[in-house]
Amino acid sequence: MLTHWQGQYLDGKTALSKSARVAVTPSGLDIAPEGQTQFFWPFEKITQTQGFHAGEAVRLENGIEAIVIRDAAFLLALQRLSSNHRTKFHDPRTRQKRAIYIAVALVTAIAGVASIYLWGIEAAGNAVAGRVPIEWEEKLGNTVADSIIQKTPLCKDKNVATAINEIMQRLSSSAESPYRFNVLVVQSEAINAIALPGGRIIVFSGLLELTDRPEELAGVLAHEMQHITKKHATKAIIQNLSTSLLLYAATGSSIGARQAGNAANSLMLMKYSRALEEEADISGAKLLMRANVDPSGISSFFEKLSAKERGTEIFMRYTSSHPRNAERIKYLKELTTKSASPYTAILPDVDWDTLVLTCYFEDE
Amino acid sequence: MQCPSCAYSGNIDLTRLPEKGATIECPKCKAKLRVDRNGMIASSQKTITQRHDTAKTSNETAPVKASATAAEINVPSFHGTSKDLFGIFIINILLGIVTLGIYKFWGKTKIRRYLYSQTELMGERFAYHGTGKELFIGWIKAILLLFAGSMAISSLATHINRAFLFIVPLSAPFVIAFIVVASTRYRLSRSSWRGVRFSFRGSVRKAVLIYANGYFLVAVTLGLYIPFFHAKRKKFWLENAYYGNSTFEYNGNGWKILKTMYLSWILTLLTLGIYGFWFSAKLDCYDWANTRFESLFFESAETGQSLFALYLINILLIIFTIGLATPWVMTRTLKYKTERLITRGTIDFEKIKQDARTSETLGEGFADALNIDAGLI
Repeated sequence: MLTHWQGQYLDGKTALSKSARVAVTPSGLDIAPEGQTQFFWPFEKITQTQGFHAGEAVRLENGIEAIVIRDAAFLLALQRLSSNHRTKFHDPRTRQKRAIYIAVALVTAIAGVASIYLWGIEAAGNAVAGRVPIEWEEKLGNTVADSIIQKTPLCKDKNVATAINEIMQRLSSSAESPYRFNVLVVQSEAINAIALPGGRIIVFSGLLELTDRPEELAGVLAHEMQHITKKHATKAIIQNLSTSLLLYAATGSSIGARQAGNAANSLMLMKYSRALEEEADISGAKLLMRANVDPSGISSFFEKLSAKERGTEIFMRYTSSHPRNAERIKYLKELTTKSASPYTAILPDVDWDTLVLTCYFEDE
Repeated sequence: MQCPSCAYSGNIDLTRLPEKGATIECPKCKAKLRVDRNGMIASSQKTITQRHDTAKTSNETAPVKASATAAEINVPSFHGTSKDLFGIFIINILLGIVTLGIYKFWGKTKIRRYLYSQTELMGERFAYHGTGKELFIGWIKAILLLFAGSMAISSLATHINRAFLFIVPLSAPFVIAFIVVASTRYRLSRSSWRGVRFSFRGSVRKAVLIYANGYFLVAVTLGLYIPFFHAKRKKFWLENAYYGNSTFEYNGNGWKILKTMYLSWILTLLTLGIYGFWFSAKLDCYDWANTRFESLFFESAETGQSLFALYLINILLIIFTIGLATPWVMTRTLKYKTERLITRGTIDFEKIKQDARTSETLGEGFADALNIDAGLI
């Protein structure tokens, strides 16, 4: 078989390339450039830097010198003759195999990313969240609560505070939760309530005003308490971090990839948080029933909420972090009509309608 | 004497030229010609239509030693395939996940090495000599410096004076200039052609001066200074770029591109940006026509039309494949850019001597840590 090849020799001192004859010996290459005496390169000193793809000339370097040979058969000769050193050089016969490796890598990459995304991240969230100490969650919750309180005025009405305290005492005794709950009402038209890690709950006065009996507020508070007990916020934070890490690892954080990733991340978080909301709904209703509070409060509250939001409902499904109101009402009603035990009313002597409107704020 | 670009014939008194020759402009098409007392140094008799055939044959056969007087037109070519590049991307993603992202430095290096080694000019391919380890170390240094810097500034700000926070916006131009200059220096020092390395010898100080001066004058003249700023910037980047021991030359100046630029702005505004592609092609054309390396001249064959088509299709490809077509987009863009560049003349390769310069990887490290894209790749 052919052992001599024509190539180009670059001496690394100037950009001039010279024609050269290259011979392969079992221990190295004999190189004879035009107009120069022949010299020898032992295989130990040679690295292949180009020639790994079809049509690409083979480039072998030794320090700053290089030789370039266009015939791919040269690689086969190197494989055959270089024995001990043949792994240093590319074997063109493996190119078929490389295509298979790439196909396997593609499938693995897709399967890997998909499974981590769909399953692994949730599992990581659950596993890690379970180990986060309550003190850490309380610190985080306090930081967030403080920043909300700085921006929005508090409702300091004593009657409202007493009423809420009563409801919370009634619920806490059946809550089976290691957390210390603490509820604050802020003056804001928004119809919302936030459960912070560690036990603090923020209720917006807009939500308070929408309720017309204590059982409805109790329903909302039970829902928020379950968010805290089941560490939903903490889990969500960990998941967010894990998804970002996955995207960073996969793409090396190239900016376009990250933006695509953020969109995917948000969609996934929405889906996950819908599952968490459903869990809070159902376990909240169960908590109400354990505490002997009439659970129809939570479904009637959602019916009122639904009436207020009518019109924007239909499009909210996939992009919303909450399940659609109609669905929530449906599964809550199914759950709560099953139980038949008699309920004890909360705060039966309080004029709820007047109470919720007495929230006023004082200047500090 | 006949101009090789436009075939304009004219008379030149060769005896009045200096012995080592001079660069003159064709009175008709303004192409730069090198002449000495014996006549034109690089004269080409081939027309543009023959260009592609010449390029094909010169790439397939083993190139003969370049002679200093042979007439030559060459076109760089890009041989990379989206299939190969896709393969590299997939491996990068897989290994990236497994190593929680650390692999990206090696992955980036692999991509650069592939793209460089698939680019060919005058029968010889380019080569990239950087390593993943270098990029990794540069990144670590940058992260540590950023961390130490921000700790220092924040403790100075809280314990001594809030005014220390102003260090951040005030130092930003210097930091950015450092990042771009240092990254360019690194990348060029790791690039070679025909065994000889490139280098970048511009200083950060010079860059800051040119850019600070430039932005100031642009602001003060409400944008009218831009053509001059453009020429100054190009001159800085090109004339500090070395191949071996020799540098590139840029002869563009603001006065010549004034009219075209101002007109192009108006047209771009009127066409809601579409004309921008034609503007870009025109500007590239001018810049390349005024770039020279030794006795090698350049010409750009980009057109607004083809640029528009290129980018439009690129965007559609990315959108409809949710980014999976990125390797394809890269290869077709590189193919376009290389095959639209023409070189005229030759280089006396024996005169280009190795003059490699060392370079730190800190600039690239910062660019990565701060997520600034400081280059082509």
